[in-house]
Formats: sequence, structure tokens, C-alpha cells
Amino acid sequence: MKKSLFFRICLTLMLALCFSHELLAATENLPAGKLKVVNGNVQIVRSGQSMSAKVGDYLNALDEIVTGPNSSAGITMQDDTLMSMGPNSRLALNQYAYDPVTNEGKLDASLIKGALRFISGIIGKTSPRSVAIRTPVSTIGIRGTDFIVEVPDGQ
Amino acid sequence: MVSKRNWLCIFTSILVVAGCATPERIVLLPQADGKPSAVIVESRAGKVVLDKPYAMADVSSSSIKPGATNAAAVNERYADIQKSMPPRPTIYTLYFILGTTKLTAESNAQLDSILEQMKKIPAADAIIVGHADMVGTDAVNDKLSRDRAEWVKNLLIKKGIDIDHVEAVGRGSREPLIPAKRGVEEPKNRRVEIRVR
Repeated sequence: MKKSLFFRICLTLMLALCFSHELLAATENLPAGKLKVVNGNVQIVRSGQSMSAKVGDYLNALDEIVTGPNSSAGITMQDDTLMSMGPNSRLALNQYAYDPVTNEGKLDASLIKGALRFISGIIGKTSPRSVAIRTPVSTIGIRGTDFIVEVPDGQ
Repeated sequence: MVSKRNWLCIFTSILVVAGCATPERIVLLPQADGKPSAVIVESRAGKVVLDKPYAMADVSSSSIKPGATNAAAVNERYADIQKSMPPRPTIYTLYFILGTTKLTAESNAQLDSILEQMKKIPAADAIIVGHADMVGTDAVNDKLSRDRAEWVKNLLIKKGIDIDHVEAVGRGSREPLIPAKRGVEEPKNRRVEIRVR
């Protein structure tokens, strides 16, 4: 009796391990998002390296996107969150995870300067409390939302 | 002669004035589907909930000022971000015969036109989400929904659809389109949604 319980616990643990590993693998393969619109000078900053962005470029969960003067960018995230950035803007992704099987995830980003329009996607529907947009002085939480945030330069 | 301390005062005043002159601004826009929505804005100065379309808040390190604007003013001030918004995702739905990865006759007839539409979306990528109805166990439905999604993914590849990142997942019977009781057939729930962005 004792032995069978022990085996059962072992089996459960092993299954849980396999399952979590599979989930991790599934989400690791996915890019966080994609640049769908690029006007003028748009840069992706990844691990300290800056590179010119073009339409179709993928974004990783910790990338920064920077637009120059008279430039703008449009981004679609894996969970269908849509974002557009105005000129002279800097957006840093702090955390992004999305599991298309459970529809759960997390989106945390900072608008360091400039302007951003944000239309929340599936994560915003299933777990709105897991979505946060930060600015130098504010934190914005969402409840099923489309909004604009503007941060003046040099604050 | 201005002392070091006075310089510090002047410098601080400039910062404070600059901060007051240009607060951050958050504007709530109406939802495309007309449903109510809200943003919760928090700063050191406090917290405000914007829950009406075009409600806004001007936020500095020392204050949050609620206010209101309108569509015309937003479109003028934010013309750049309005025009660079990516298109909303398009969802195509295909239906299947009970317990199989075979399309219904109706979906089969629509297939070519759906594929043609998908070819026209620039820099597209897609998530293919399979679903099953409430007939059968969760394990069976999880596998069936995944098989349906994989079947559609392979079909897109075979038809030469140029979508560079396609992910196929199965949600079993977790997300019925039409609410149904366990064990009851519902053809509308036996489906694959192709979310193209």
C-alpha cells in the first residue's frame, strides 16, 4: 500500500515534469512578435546591439524598439496584441510569454519616451492583470483595452 | 556670484517646471466592438480609472489630472501612430466531420477562396488553433483538435502559402463556439481557426 502510493507520487512528479518541459518548449519556439509596419528609421535593440528593422522582422521577449524622427512602427504580438509607435519613441519589452494552448501569458513593457497606441490581445482577455505598460512616472493596467500613452522627451 | 547650492536650486526648479509643462498623457479609446473597457493609471501621485471613451489623464510625478478629449483631436495629435497600426488579425474557420480530420463539404468548397485571401496579407504569420466538440474524452479531443490543426498546417504548406511562421495547437473542447453539453454533438464546434496576422 505504502509502496503503491510512493510510485503514484513518483509517476505524478514525472508526468508533471514532462508536461512543464513540453509547455516550455512550445512557447520557446514562438517569437514574441513581429514588425508589421516600418516607416523611416526603426531600430531593434537586442542584447545591447542595435539593428535596422524591416517589415517582417521578429521580436524577442526582451527587445527594445526605437523609432527616429518622422518614423513610426507597427507591431503584432503573438497573442494578437497590436501596438503602434510614433516618432522619437522608445519601447522596451520587459517580459513576454504566451501559450496558445491555454491562452495564458504575460506582457510587460515600458514606453521610455514618445507615443504608443496599445490594443490588447488574447492575454488581455484571459488574464488582464498580467498586462502592464509602464512609463517613467505611471503604470497602466488594462481591462479589455485600446489606449494611447504619450511620454514627453527628457523627463 | 551664485553659490553651488543656489545652482542646485535653480537646476531643481527647471526640472520641476519642465515636469509640470509636459506631463505624460494617457487616452482611453473606444473598443472596436463597442464593449466597455478601462485603463487603470497609477503613479506616485495616486490612481485614476479611465472607463469612458476619450477619457484621459495627464500624469506628472506630482499629480494626476483627469480630463477628456475627442476623436478628432486624437486623430490630429496622434496621426503617426494611427496610420502605423497593424491590421487586426483575420480569422478563417474551417469545419470538420465528427471524429475526423476531414473537412465538411461546405468548408471544402470555401477552401480555395480562403487560401487566395490569405496570400494577399503582407508579412503574414499564423497560429492555427484546432477545436473539438464535446463528444469523447478530453484526451481524445485534445489529440483530435491538435491533429486537425496539424492537418491544416500541412495543407497550407502543400498549397504553397507563403506564411513564414505557422504554429499549430489544439485546444480540445475547452473553447466551444456554441455552448454544448458533454456528449452532445455540435458541428460548429468541430473546427480549426486560422488566425492570420
